[in-house]
Amino acid sequence: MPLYDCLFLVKPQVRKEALMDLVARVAMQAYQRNGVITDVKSFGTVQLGYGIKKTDGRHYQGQLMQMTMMVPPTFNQELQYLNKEDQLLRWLIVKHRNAVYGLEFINEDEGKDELSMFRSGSLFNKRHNEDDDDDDDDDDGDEEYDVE
Amino acid sequence: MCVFVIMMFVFLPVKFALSSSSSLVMILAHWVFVFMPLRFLSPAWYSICNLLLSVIASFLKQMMRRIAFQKELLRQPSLCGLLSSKQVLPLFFRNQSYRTDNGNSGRNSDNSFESSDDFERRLFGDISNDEKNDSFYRKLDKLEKAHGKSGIGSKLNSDDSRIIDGISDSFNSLSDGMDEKLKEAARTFVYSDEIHDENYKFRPDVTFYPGMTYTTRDLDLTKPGVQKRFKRNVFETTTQEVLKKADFRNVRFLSNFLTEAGIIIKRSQTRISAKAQRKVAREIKTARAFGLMPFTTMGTKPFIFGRSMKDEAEDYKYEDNTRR
Repeated sequence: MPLYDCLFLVKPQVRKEALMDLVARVAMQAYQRNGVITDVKSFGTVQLGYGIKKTDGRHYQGQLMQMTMMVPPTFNQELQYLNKEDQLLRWLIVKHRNAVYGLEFINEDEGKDELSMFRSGSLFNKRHNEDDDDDDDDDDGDEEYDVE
Repeated sequence: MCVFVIMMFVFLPVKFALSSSSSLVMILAHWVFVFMPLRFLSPAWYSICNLLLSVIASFLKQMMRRIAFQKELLRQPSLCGLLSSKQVLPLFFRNQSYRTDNGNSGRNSDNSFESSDDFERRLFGDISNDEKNDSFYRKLDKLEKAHGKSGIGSKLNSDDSRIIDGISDSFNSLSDGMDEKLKEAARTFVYSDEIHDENYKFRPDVTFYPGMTYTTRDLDLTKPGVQKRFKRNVFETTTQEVLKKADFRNVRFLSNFLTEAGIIIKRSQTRISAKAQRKVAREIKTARAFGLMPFTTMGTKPFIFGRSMKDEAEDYKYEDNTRR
């Protein structure tokens, strides 16, 4: 199973609980497909390049969440229902790559690589140590709340 | 270096012959150098040789300069007139004799020179008796003045020229009051309050932009100002960096590749490889579709990372303030 990055751009007014519900629903779907959630990141509120027009007006900000998961390639088709999600501005599923982008909000140049390595490394180590997928999921959940 | 040394060996005798002022010591030194095989030169010897050669060279230079000066003096007719006075003439004859004598014996040269005090007195005149003892420079001064004044006087009436000529005889540059004027000019420093002017510029011919640096030459107002090309902080990147960092989530990095209008900057300006440029373009397009980057900002404010595109009311507020 390939590793995918699934990104959600949610309306800024949406509460955190609702956002967690949305992400958890996708995660449950992934588990049903015998998938693995390896990472969940929150980028917080980001400024958009242009106002995204929805039925309730233009949105110039959005809450960005990213979930890295190992799912079968057909998983993309099952996520099409997200298009009808009215609290979602955009969603995107791309193949995971080893690009350095995380935490660029905190420190721009130096130390970014170290920090991201530290974070992902710790997660991966945990995953390697504990073979149980469910425990891994719990860890991910904690991480998510720490970030926010 | 070796070539130089050999050249010195070859040309030294010629120069000595020309100036005919080679002393016994120098001939000795010269022969030592010639007969000393170059390959046996130890560093210590080498340095000694260098020192000696430099001393000889400086001596020669001095000699040549003196000869040149004498020739120059003899060539000018007006100066020849000066030289014909009994005080100045002996010097040059003495020097001539010195030159010819030196070919045989350089030792006598010291006696033929007058002391530095005498020389000074002859040139600048005695301070105690002003007018009677005409110094070399005073004569020169007088000669020049007479020449200049008569030149002007020829254009005027003959009477005037005669008067001016009459003045020029008793006129002295030391008593024309110019000395006081010069001293006054040296003592006083005229300044104004132009610094407090609103559009005062220390260097009006050069425009300095914020962030520009200036050198000490720029502050020297006696030299013409050189307008420098101001290089703005242009974003520069490498192919490796792009391939590592380009990602549609890395909006901060990708926004460097957008123009003010939101157009992707072409490869001839970014100076990265085609592969990297393709990647950048692809990631920017992905980010645009995802809403993180603008398709275009034409007619609106430019896209800056971390700033909302919405707050147009505040932007216009600032403009209004400036208008009032």
